[in-house]
Amino acid sequence: MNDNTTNMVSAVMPPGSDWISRYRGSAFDELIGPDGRVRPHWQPVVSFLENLGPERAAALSERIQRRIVENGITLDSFSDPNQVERPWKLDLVPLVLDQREWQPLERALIQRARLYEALLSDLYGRQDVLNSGLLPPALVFDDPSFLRAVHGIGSHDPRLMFLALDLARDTNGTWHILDTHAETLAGHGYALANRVVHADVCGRMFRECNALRISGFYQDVAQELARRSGQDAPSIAILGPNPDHETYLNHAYMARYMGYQLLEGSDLRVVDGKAYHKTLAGLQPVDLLVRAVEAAKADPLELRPDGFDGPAGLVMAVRNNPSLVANALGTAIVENRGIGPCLNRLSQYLLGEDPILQDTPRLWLGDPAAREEVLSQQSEFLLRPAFEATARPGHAQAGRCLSDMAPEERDRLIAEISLNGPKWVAEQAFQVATSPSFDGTDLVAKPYAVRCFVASTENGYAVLPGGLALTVQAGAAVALTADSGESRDVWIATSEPQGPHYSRWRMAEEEVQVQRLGIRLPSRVADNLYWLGRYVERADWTMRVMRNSLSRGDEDLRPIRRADVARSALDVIVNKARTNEGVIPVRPGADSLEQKVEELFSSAVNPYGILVTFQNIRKVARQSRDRLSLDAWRLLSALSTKRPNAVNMSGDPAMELVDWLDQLIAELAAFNGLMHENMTRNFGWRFMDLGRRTERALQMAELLNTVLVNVVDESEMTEHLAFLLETADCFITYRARYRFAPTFPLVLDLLMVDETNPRGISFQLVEILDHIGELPKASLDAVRTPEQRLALDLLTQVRLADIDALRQVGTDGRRTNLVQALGRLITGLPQLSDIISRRYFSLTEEQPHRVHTRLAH
Amino acid sequence: MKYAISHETTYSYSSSVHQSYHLLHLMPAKVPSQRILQHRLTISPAPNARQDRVDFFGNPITLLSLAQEHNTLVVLAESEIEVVHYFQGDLAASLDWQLIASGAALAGREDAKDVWQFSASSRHGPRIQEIGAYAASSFPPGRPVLQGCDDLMRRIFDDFTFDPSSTDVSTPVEHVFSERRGVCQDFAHLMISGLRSLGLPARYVSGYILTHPPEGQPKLQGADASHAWVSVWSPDFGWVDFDPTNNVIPRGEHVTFAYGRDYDDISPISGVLLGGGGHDVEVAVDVLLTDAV
Repeated sequence: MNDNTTNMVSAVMPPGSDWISRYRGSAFDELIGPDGRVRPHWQPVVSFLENLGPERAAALSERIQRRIVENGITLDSFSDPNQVERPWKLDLVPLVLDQREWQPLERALIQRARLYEALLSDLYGRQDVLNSGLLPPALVFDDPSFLRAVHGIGSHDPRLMFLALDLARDTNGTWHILDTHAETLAGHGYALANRVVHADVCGRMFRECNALRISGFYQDVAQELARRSGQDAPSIAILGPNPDHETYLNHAYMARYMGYQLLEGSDLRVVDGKAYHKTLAGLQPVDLLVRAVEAAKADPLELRPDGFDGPAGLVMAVRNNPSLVANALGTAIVENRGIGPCLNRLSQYLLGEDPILQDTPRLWLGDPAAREEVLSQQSEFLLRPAFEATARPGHAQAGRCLSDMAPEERDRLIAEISLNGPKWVAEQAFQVATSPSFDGTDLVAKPYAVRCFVASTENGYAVLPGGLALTVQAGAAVALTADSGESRDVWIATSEPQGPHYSRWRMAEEEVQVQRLGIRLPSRVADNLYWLGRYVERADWTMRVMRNSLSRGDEDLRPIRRADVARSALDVIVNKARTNEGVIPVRPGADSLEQKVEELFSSAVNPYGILVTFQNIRKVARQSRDRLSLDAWRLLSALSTKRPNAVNMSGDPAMELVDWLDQLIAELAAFNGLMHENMTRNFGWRFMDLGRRTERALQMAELLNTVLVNVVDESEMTEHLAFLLETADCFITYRARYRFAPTFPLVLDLLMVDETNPRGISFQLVEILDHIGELPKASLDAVRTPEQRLALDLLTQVRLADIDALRQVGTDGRRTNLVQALGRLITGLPQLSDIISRRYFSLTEEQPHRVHTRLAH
Repeated sequence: MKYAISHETTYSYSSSVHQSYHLLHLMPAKVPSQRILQHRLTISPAPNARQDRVDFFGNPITLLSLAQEHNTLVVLAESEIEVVHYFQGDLAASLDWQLIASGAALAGREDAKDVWQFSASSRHGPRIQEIGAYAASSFPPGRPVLQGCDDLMRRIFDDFTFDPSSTDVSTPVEHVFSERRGVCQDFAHLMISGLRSLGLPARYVSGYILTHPPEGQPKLQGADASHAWVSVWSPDFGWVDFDPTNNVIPRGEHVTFAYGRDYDDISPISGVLLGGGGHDVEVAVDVLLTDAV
């Protein structure tokens, strides 16, 4: 293509721009053609950027990055805010490919999918390619992704539903396949997220390129999955790993886009050889699972004994219905890099065609001759494992060159290769093509590789008209290794304007039955939402107590108080952890109020402290992520990043901390408000609110139990009451009603008995009873369920409370009746929580475990 | 020689199991050296679903699932088997081991793939540098493969101590090697690992062995156990068994039930439970010689 392959090509300067003139691509560059001019299909992008000018381009680029962060699109799933997350950057400049060049590439990728499909049919059937030696048996049998348990399971539908291929272009412009991904949805979620963010921020640039849209592809995929399920209203879910897994986010994004449930292995159960999904309403059949977990770990009964990512018995269910899982179990064997050198003969034998595209030049080291060649020309080759789970974009291991190694390391690797040759390949690196990237001020040429996505549809294999391009290290391009996380959207430019957006929702309308309550809510999700409600409320309560304890200013406006009451209020929280959990050592001198606040603020182990509670919020929020709106998610993720690292506690009052508490309390209130206003009143909402109400009633009962049961003199009591009112955010209500200093009966009435006070105990119990009565297992007749009986009992007790009687002081100098009444709440509410957990969430607690018998001889 | 073998496994759970799944390798495989006269499987409580099939290696397997709550599960397998043939060849007449390890002896054979699959690494039978070096001293250049195996078997028997407390089902073979102790399956895995590290195809055999009570004492009921040993391929004799735990080449007292790459492929009975708290397993095995001819 280009005679001058050795050097950089410099551009001819178009009028009015120096970006293009300063741009230097490699010997093959996407933007600048061999004539030194901008390639025609890039012109709309270049014009758009030139019109924009450097400042506005930088602003757009920043906006893209902000959207990425707000959407939580990072390589590592959202975890601890203090942990450094792997960056995920989306370039302002896409990779633009001309449709005329794309079409042959598309045909090549489809051919590759057909080839792998034929290979899978053979390997999981007659194994002619092994019997005839077209593929070395050791290559297949040494690869743990070849699953013997699924050998012989036939299939009407292609085993390979989803295939992703990593490609790079050499400096002649020829494409090579670097890697194959046939196991999970290897990066669809990232590609979708990139397109959504980019189109949102600069849709005009996209339209001016007449680039192909991607929604049609996903529509075809959805249609094909529905067809495979054999149902009119299929229950389709993505079987994903747990949220701590590095690819979780990818699958969560895909699930949200496709409108599928995202389930984990523990949400599923196989009964009588059929797969079910554990929901609030019991077991519901599942028609199709899009597999996003490693197949070898998808059934602890017949596959890897330590793999619990799928339900026990899944292989049995697949034997009964091979269409149940897509990709089929066992497809990852085609990822083996050692297949590369056999491609020509496999393609001839299985398809009767020559392969259109080749893999990167590669040797399989199970072959003794190949081993010798590599050892004799060590500097020529990069060594890589033959199989490696590389579904996560950008994370393939870089190749290692023997001649660059220290002698001992080299000897070790050589010994390993002679022993385990079938597990290794050697590849020849090549210089890869470059494409422009916007670095904030300039257009810079960067070497890149691109992941393309193929899927099986009713009309055969189809290629996503787009993809995921990543910047790779220059010269090391044997794999999609991109530590920098610099990604680019991929556009296929055409000469015709593309039609209007073709919505996924149109199809959904026909298929979905009206289903308002969501009884199909997975038990696990209900469990997480319940605890999200509890933890958010707990955080709110703890912070209010802390703030109220610290803010001793405004002395003219509020009753003067001593620190005692604040200290005992803090003690309720601090000691609960000490006694209940037995993990918190009593720190010597932890007596001052500031020290108590400090413990709640910074303890990494106190389960009622801020740190742990926020960790818990993040954990359950992450696990219910596909149930939370983007706005709710943004609020929660913003919340997690704002904790100051060190707050100076020496100031009195510790104003910094108070300010920070004010802000966090306001942010939590925003989250609660959003949930209240925007969340449909389905079971998910009910469980979350149930959690919140239970926590609030319990915290209030415990605080009252500490502050009000002991008899103190009148002025001290006034302070205690004022503290209670402020902590409960009821001071204004009280003032508006009574206009005089707080008195015991009126405060107790407001905080305990008054059903109109949304922070009072009684109000919480009314709501709890209402929620419980609406849950799927609630009793509609006169005989109430245990949780209904208990909630009613607690509410009735509070409703019938006689304030005067509660005020009575017993012989021990304490308000015995009040102690008793609060005591019933303090033991009854956790009991209620347990009953609800057992009835609705217990399915999630049945962790599967393996049993073996051991040979004793 | 005819045998009556009974293998009874009783699981007792501390709290009830909601659902359980089991995979059984308790039915004898069809091998040329044995005739299966009878086989019966009794499961209590009765399973809700059962699949009987043949696994990738040719062993019959039974898959069970129980969907009702249960506190115990009893699986009784009873078989009558006649051992009609055992290896009586001349070890020195077997082929040079290097011709097998290099693949030369397999070239062009129809069963090449079926043999070759047992030279690949598996979870409990990996190719390991150190274990390969240990095995190598039994295999000087040009030695007949079965002589080498016989020597390796004897060395394992001499160098390693039988000790049920030192390992469990998931102990890696490297640990067995470094600790120099284990039970039959560990010694089988170790020998397989050594042979594969040299490039030789070796498979794991699971079955039973006739035990003899100490002189003058009656044989105790339920005191036998399932057993495991190794099988090595040579082109002239086919698969030949070696039992490193007892340092014998089986001569009619071993009954084969299943073969695979390692324990994971053919564990006699394994399962997954939902619920159940703790569990207790009792295994009672009897191997009776019913006809010594």
